[in-house]
Amino acid sequence: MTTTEITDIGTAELDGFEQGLAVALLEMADDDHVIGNRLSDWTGVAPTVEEDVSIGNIAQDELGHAEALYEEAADLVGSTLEGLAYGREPSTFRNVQLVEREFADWADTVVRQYFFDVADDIRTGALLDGDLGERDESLAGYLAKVDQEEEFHAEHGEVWLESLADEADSTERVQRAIDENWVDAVAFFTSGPEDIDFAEAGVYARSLDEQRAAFVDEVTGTVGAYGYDVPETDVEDVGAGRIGEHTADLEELLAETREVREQGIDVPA
Amino acid sequence: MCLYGPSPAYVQTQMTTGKTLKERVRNGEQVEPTGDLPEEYKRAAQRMIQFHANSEIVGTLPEKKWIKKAPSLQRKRAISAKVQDEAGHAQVLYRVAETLGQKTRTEMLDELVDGEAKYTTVFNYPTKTWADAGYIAMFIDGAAMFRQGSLTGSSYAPYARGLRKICYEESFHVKHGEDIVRSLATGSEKEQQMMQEAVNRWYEPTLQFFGPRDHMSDHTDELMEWGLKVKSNDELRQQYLDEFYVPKLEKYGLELPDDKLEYDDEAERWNYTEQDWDRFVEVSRGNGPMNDERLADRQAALEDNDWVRRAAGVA
Amino acid sequence: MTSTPAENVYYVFRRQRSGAPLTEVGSVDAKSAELAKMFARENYARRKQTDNLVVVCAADMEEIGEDAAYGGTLEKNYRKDEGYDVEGFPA
Repeated sequence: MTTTEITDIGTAELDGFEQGLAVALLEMADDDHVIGNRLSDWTGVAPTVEEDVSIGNIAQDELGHAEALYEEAADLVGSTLEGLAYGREPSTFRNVQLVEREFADWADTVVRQYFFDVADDIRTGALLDGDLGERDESLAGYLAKVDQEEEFHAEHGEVWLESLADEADSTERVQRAIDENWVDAVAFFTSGPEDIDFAEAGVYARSLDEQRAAFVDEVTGTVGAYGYDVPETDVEDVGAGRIGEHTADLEELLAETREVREQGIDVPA
Repeated sequence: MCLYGPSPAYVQTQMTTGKTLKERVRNGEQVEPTGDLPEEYKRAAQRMIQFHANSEIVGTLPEKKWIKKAPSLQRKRAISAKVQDEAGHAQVLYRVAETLGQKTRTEMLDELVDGEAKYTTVFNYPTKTWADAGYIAMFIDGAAMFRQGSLTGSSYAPYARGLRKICYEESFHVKHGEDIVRSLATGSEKEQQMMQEAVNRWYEPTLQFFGPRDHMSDHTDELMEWGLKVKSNDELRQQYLDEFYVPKLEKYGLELPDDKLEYDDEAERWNYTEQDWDRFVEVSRGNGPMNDERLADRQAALEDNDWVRRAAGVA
Repeated sequence: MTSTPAENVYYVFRRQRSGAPLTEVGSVDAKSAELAKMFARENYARRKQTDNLVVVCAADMEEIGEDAAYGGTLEKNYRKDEGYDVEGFPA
């Protein structure tokens, strides 16, 4: 099952850079849309009331990013925000599986969110260091702010990883979450069926392979300092969210985001 | 700053202290948690503030699922922010309650899931449609604003201070809710019907939000004497009907859900079909449609995350 | 125990903008300054303009108390404007 090619999504004619950018933006928007919704599962039931508020901020930030990036992608390809966020089949979504699955527990949440924030920060950095600054100054300005928010999110994760390292029980749970989510985390640095050479197109200043290596370095260093281990990275064995392979959790999540809309209730004009 | 626990007490008879305090609060004075607050005052304040804190944290649960289901990304973020505020209010109020030196936050949260502590009955009803989400944000948070606004004059200073912050945040909730209500009430026939149905269904729980009728309320007299409560349940209920509920429904072309709801010029009050207060008591005692589920959610939250709290050293 | 232990409570102070005073805005429950700072940032800067946030562990706060005779027990008019019947600095 493969997702729709970017050139089949909208109506516009795109040059090499624009195609690459559109794919990157859609991947980002889908990631943000899905993780923002998924985080809302913790509402009212987070470990402490202070954390209920904190995780709410992260969710709202991701959803805000999703909205803006869907708009940008829509402008680029010749579609609409609504079409991209609400009109596509789950099998055409390009988010990584890391962000879609239901959370097993707090360790699973903290680890996955942390992996996502570091990866997102690296991807956004690669985009900002590419040709984007010349081709679209306003989008670059926006993404620089997104990047800052992602850094705050990563700090939130780091504080939790550090705090949970104080007890044997919590350390074990975090380690398990790292082991179980590692493959999905490195799968972040894959892309869709178009097989675009992002570096050549000037979209990412660093290739996906280079970004992945930077991710592995950074995470290994950070979690290592707290006493956790990182598994061996087998690049072949990756989840396939970016090419449209998803779990039932995503289908359920997207269906929930659409049921009120589909009844025509309180839908913006 | 909030004093952390009572300072060393000096000896005074409770009677003398009680009189002095009652006189003080009658003059509108607000008191800090010092060692000479009478036990009765502290117990009454504890019950009231704990009830309020519990209501805030339980109040996040009826609206939770509407975050995913929100029909646009804007609505989604707005409702997430609103619900997030409720958790923040719970945080403020549990800390305020702790200043009385009666119970820890952990104990209060445990009492809640054990069914030993009360919270507002309004959150024991199911939310069935998106119109419910809009209704609650507008009309229940609106009701809360009247209640909380009056309580900023409460004699217990930490509570009054906490409520000022809460009132400031609550006002956006009402606007967010009103935006949804307006959209539905002025929308398609299907949307209007959905909104009206929500109004009809929530009428009784809404009016009961202000608590029992004054002549039926066990605690009102005591709370008023201590200055903890400033306006009575009936006063607030009347004010709400007069200044908010009726005018807003009329503004959006929604029908009043009660034939008897009308202003009595002679008696100078709003008349309405008397609420089912037996049912209210049942729901307060844990027999409402959603009580079990609400408490089960909170219990799971505590149990599933106990290891997190131990590791993080928090309650 | 009738309150959360003071070492697990941090009071939060905000400076709204440069030049404004540092004022108490609430508290967070946390076992460490790191966790407290993270919670403070997430809980106390969602709306109001914030230039800086400071957290202080409740266990580190020293209190003088409500029973101290602040300013002494006797009248000290010589410290105030009202204690003098000359014009002073022209209005």
